[in-house]
Amino acid sequence: MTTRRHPTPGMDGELAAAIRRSRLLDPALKRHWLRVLPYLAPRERERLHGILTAPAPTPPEADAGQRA
Amino acid sequence: MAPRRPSRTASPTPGVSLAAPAISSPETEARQRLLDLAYDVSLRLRHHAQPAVRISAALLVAASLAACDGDSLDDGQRLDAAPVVQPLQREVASGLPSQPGRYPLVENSLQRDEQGVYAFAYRPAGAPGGPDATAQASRVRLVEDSSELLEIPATGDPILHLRPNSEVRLVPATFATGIGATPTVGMSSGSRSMGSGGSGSGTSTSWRPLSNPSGVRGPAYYDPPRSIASGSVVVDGARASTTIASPADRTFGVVHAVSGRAGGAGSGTAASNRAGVDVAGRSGGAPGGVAASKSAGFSGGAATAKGGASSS
Repeated sequence: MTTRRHPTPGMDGELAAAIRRSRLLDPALKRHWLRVLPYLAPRERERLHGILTAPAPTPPEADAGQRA
Repeated sequence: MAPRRPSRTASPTPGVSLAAPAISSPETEARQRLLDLAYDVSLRLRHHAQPAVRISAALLVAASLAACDGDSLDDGQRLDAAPVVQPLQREVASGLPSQPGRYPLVENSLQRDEQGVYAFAYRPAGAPGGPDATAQASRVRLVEDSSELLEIPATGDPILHLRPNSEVRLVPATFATGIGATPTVGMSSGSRSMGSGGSGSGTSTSWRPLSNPSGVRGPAYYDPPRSIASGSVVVDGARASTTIASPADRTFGVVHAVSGRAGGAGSGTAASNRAGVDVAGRSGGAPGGVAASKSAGFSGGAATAKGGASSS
């Protein structure tokens, strides 16, 4: 039996995809965000989108540069 | 607008000091922003009509906390670092009704932070169907009742009427500030998870202060056990007294009993969550304390409640 989840009606598909793709979120956290996603306020959706789609953090090379 | 918690950057909770400095990275900060958002979402959805939504919101916070804890504990640096919670610097009382009376508590809204500040939502009088009000208070007495109410007596500290099985969510110091409108002194920023340190369990901890007989008659001040094992889901038992404990005695901390990361099945915490109730009726300065029993059901009753005369 497949365990594939179906998007809740009204769910922002793009945001749901961002949640699923995110490396910041472990599987449990993805699941929880997807569950509450239909109930998020617009501003909360924007914040979530902003966090999940922010440019990938750069590794802390600055320290290495300073040491060099 | 959802109550704001200050952003947590790299600093740990003021009011909670840990042995080692926090570890920060852009990824960690992103997770903390997610945690902030999870808190806000949870606060808003906490009163949602559907229980499943409320539970999902709570689980979201728990999982977010666990994720952040994993960040700070990746190196296993602080697994054994028992948090030292700074006592409250000033008593907190905000959002309470100004008129004496009884006000229904909003179900599942009651929480208490590590410094002993209660936060809860209640239904104001004269506004049926209106928005709930939120309040924070550090000097709060508890008493057993058949329903959950906030009582504002004519004199003395507020009284929360709770059922024997009522649960109080134990939260980090900063979380309570997100409920009320007024930030609490000494809790301006930072965050730390509760009960999940190092284990990655992400469980939230609830405290049932009235689950065991306290031996105290009438309203009394209750404090959770001083040490709460990491990963505890429900903590029973309390330290109860008719006189309020000092700010330092109201604090509690999470004890990380395991030295490895999660995965250790059955953490083997030595601390018992079913410890009995410590009774220290110190009314009038008389020593009168009753030796606490480790098991419930001891006979106490030495404390004499003086009808709500504990206001100062």
